[in-house]
Amino acid sequence: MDDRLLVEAIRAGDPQAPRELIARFQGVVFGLCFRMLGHRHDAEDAMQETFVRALRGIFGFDASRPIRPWLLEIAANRCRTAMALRARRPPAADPSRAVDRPDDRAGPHDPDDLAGELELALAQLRPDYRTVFALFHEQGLSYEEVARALGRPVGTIKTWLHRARAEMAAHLAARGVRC
Amino acid sequence: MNCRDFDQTWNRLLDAESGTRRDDGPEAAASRLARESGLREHAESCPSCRIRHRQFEALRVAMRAWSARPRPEPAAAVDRIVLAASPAPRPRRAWPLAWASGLAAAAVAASFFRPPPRDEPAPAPARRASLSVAMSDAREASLRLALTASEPAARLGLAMLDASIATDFGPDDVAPAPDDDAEVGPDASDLATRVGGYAAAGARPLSDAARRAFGFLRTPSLDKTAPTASPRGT
Repeated sequence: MDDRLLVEAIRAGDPQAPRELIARFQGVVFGLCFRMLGHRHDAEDAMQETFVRALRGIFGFDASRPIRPWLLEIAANRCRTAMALRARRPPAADPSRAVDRPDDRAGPHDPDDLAGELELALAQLRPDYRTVFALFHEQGLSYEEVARALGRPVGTIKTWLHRARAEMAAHLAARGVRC
Repeated sequence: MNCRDFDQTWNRLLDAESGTRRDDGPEAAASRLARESGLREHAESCPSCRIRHRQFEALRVAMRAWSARPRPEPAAAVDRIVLAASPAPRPRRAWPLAWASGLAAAAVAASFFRPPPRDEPAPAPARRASLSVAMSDAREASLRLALTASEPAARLGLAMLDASIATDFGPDDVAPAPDDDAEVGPDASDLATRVGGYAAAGARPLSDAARRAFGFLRTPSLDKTAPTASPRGT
């Protein structure tokens, strides 16, 4: 069943269709939420809110358009809301609320752990750049899809991605990563 | 190749590095090799680009390793999400908020004119000018309050007030007038009764709760002969 038929099935009340939608897109939605929020539980909450809103608003969705960017657009909005709420909250004493970020302290590291080094570099980026990098390289969205998901012009997305790569390349060099 | 071309070429190469876009077919590989050859040639002749060239090469290798790693997966959540997305039974609202706001506005306005208790001596008849000014103020207050909720609510509140006033005053009399000691307007209790009656009449089709809420405006005489006219404009 392609995405358009899936949307029609949800609208028709097929009880299995929402499950199929979630199963099909939870990975990409969670991936974006995790990249934006940096915390697994927060990302799962944002993912749940994303699907709840999508399922409740499915009749307002233009079925002639691809659904993935629409879901990611909702997810990005939920994550921005969550980040704004987090910024207003007092610092949490609960260690489980700490952001799941790699340890970027200087010190001995495994030079062969290139994936880990890239994670560190990614974590250093400002949120906009990090999100664009994750959507493009991790989720495989096109420039146009990223632009739509984030509500930014395509040119801005290209610029951000270029800067993100340049900053990450410089970060890797500063960490002594060579190929 | 100049420095700008150098950057653009690296961007195109890195664009193709994400897992789904990576094309290892022979044509793509040949194109990639040709681009890389051009990049190397430029890097050898340009000191600043030579540094960036090394950095981008390291980034590309790291991106390949990163793309191959297991991705973070969410905990199984399909059932939980489906349950959360299923429409929950909504608490039944006695009547829409906008209508309730309009009725409340009318009730507030009418409360200014409630008749005094029967065991107290009735005050002297209100002067027409003062009553007109008060009604005008009440009308404006009702409008402002109701507009914060919705236009239909505003219309309802105004219709009830206007219908109550128009019977004896005429619409022109509602506007603020200079002090006029000569004429005496309708009895305040009659006016309050009428406003309450219209409020109740407007609420009756909506719900019993509305009627109960504004029942304090109704008098025994009104209960015997409920108004048959509907608020003007509704």
